[in-house]
Amino acid sequence: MDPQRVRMILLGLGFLLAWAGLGYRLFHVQVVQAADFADQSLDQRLTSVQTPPDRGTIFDRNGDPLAITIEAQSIIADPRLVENGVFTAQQVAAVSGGNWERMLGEIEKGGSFRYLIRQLEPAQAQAVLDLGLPGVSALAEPKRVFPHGPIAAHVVGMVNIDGIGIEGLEAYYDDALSGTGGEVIFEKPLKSAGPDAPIAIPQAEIMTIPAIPGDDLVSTIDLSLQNAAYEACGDTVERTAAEACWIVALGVETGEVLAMVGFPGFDPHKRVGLDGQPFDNFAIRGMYEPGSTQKLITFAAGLDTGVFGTATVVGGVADRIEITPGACESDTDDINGCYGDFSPHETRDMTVQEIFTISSNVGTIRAQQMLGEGVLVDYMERFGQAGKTGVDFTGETPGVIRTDPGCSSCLASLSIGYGVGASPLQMAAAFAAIGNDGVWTEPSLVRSILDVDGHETELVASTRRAVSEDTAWAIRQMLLNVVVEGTGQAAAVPGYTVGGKTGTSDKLDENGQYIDQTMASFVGMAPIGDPKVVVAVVVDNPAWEYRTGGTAAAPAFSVVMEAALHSLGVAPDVDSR
Amino acid sequence: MSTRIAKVTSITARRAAERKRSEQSVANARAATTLFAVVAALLVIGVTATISASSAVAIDQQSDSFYFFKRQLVGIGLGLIAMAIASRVPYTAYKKLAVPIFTFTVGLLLATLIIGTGAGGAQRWLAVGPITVQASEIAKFAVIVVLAAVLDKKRKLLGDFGHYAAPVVAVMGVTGLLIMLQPDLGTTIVIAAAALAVILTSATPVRFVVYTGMTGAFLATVLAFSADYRLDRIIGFRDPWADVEGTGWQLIQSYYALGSGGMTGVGLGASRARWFYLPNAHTDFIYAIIGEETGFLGGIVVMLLFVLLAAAGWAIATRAADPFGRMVATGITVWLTFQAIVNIGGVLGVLPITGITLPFVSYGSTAVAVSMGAVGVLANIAYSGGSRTRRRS
Repeated sequence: MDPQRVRMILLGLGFLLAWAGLGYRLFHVQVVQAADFADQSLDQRLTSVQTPPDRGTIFDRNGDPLAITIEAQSIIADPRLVENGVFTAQQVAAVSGGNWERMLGEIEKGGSFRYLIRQLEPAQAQAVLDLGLPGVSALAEPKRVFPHGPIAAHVVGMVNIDGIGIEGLEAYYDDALSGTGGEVIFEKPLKSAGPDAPIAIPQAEIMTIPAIPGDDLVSTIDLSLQNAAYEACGDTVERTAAEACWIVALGVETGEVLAMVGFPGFDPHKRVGLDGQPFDNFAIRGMYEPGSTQKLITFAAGLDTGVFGTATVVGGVADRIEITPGACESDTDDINGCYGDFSPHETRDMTVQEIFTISSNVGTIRAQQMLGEGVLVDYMERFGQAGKTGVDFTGETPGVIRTDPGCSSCLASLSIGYGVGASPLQMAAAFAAIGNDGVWTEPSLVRSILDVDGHETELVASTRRAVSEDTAWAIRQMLLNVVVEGTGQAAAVPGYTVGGKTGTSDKLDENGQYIDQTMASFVGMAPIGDPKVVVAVVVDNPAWEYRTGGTAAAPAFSVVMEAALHSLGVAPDVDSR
Repeated sequence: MSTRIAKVTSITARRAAERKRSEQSVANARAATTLFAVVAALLVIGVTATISASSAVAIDQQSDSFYFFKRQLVGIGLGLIAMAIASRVPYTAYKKLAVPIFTFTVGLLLATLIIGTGAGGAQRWLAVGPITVQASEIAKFAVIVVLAAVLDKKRKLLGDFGHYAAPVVAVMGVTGLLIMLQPDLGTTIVIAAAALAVILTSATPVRFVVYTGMTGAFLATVLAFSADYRLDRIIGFRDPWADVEGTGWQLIQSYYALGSGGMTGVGLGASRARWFYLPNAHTDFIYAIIGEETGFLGGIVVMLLFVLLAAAGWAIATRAADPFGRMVATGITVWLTFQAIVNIGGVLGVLPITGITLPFVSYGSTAVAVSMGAVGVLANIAYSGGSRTRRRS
């Protein structure tokens, strides 16, 4: 054969062999090993972007929003791209109203992402973007807004800058309000092909796990009543030159908090109190000595155990009583062992009813002495003292009952509201038990939770019997008397039978010594035949001439109770003409 | 009687020869048709893949996702003209034009080194206004033609090593040096392989061919280890997983693309690798994109097209009318086939990555124009194989 032909054939065979080898290799890579390569390949491309859920709205009981989330834009900077830090900060600050030096500080921290100012209104953010500053851009970031500002702030609470509930209902119900974040999973290019290029590979599949919006809360708050209470507290603080005022209005049959205000108020947007103080809700977290309002429990214990009746006469009630021998000789301390009535009076016989009406400490202590061992503390606990009420709010105080072993004066103190610490809400709940025919109901701030599908979950409050219906009825008559002819006449509401009890207790200083400042309170209910609302008013350190519950707290009680009765549509039960 | 018999025999033989020549002529025409069909198919596949493979890079670099596609169409247009002309110009003309063609090419290569442009440290293109020319692509054809012409002219003297070696060393030395200065080892190796094929099919004694081949292999090895980036490619080829983010990156991304394609592919235009994962997706690694989008089946089709191209070229070469035609046809066929094997071998990880493109398929307008011109030359050799015998009879 032609030698050149042999060479051609060999050459051809050589190439054929090479192609066969490549074909085998292709099969190996694309078929045999394909799955592994495909998986690893997908892994390097898959990325995900979190999508934040919309936070639920908090409504009042009639559907008025108390906290809503709106669209907002944050202005951010990429310090690497900012050309002139001072100029950029000053320009952004001029348009957005922020502090340029703080913004400059952020830019100078470096990195690739710094907030200059957060959660601006979209139009304002656009004005900043229109400046066309290099490295400055906007980021959609929802903003929590409280349409009624400080009025409901002590209940609703607030969120932090990142939208997480940190106080009040926002904190307690944060999980429900937050919802569940969504995720978009997609295949990303190795690098961006430019500012307008897609962030995902266009042909690749995108998996979207939608965010589930947070639940809405329907709170128990009645916004109109809340407004009235806030105004009443403000007026009270102004009138009595008090440090603060707290009001709780409780639905008697439901335990629902219809209003809960504190004055000075709290700005939930600036996250600081109007008095510059941090967030606190004294109505739930605070503890004060209830003073004479506590006598409700002392007398309820006596009536419920049958030890005495309202007409039972306590003989020879003086205006001073010495429990701890020698206590009255010392002028320094007239509460721990030596007790006196608010006004001096002749020693005389008094009915239980009269003792309650004029709020005689001596008479109350005498009545308490009739109770069996442990009965008073037992009833205090039945009325929810020395234990959290279970209200849906963070940081609730359990209150305290001081019963040191061998303390001879402790029971006497407790019976008139000393040596016991309670929150305004605990006192309101105790009174509500009397209003509710002896059944104590757990107070609540949220009526129901509405999920995204419109499914409503109603929250049910737990209840327990504290005293008998008869006892509750009898106590209510005594409360009525206090307003009709006793220390609480300023609490009267035209057209309604109102019952309540004044309370005045000396405040303790930092060292536990009583000082010449008072907590003046009034807790009451109406209409007395079938109470619908309990209102508790606590005034912190009013001026001396207003130091009693009857003068400092009862007028505000009257205003709020009237508003509550009207708001609830309770028919008048007295012909006021 | 004997004369008569001889006459009859000679008539019979002539008729048989004529019939055979006529059959060969038909076969050659068929081979040429096959060649054109294969090239057309590869061009269609290549253009389709280029649109997809280059779009992301095109947006990024040129703000026009069809930038590379448009340029490639220009190259193919020029290639069609080159192919049409080359298939009509008698290939024997290159025997006389070989030295001028080679001289012109050397000039272009020199110009590329002096005023050329390039990227990534290599200087590969001559820019004349909007047109860029890659002289090394033209050099592939020039070397084949000049070697075939010289070895054909000296066919009686090839038994003498000096007579054989002098022109081969001169041509390969000058071309290799100029291209290695760019530097471009891959193209140099392709040219050397084509040259070796020309030598193999010349009258050169086998031992000289073996010496030449061994010398070439030795030089290629030395050069491969002489530069860091080439060494990296060899390391990356030997164990890509040792440095996934570095030397192994390109090959692993090639595997990922092919693996994602599987048996039937992810679909045309749906390549993920082109989104900057696979470097040189529209040039050196377009075969991986084809494999990703059309799967093993698409990849095999491309391989079979190259096998068909090689078979047609081989058939044309074996039936060429003269040794020069055979040498040129073999040289062109080996050039295109060898380049395809080295490219696909690199993509599949069985050969080191050399940076050479897949003929007719990869983006590169000079390459596609010159390759198509070369196919035109092959066609003319095929047609001449038939027509010459007809003219004689």
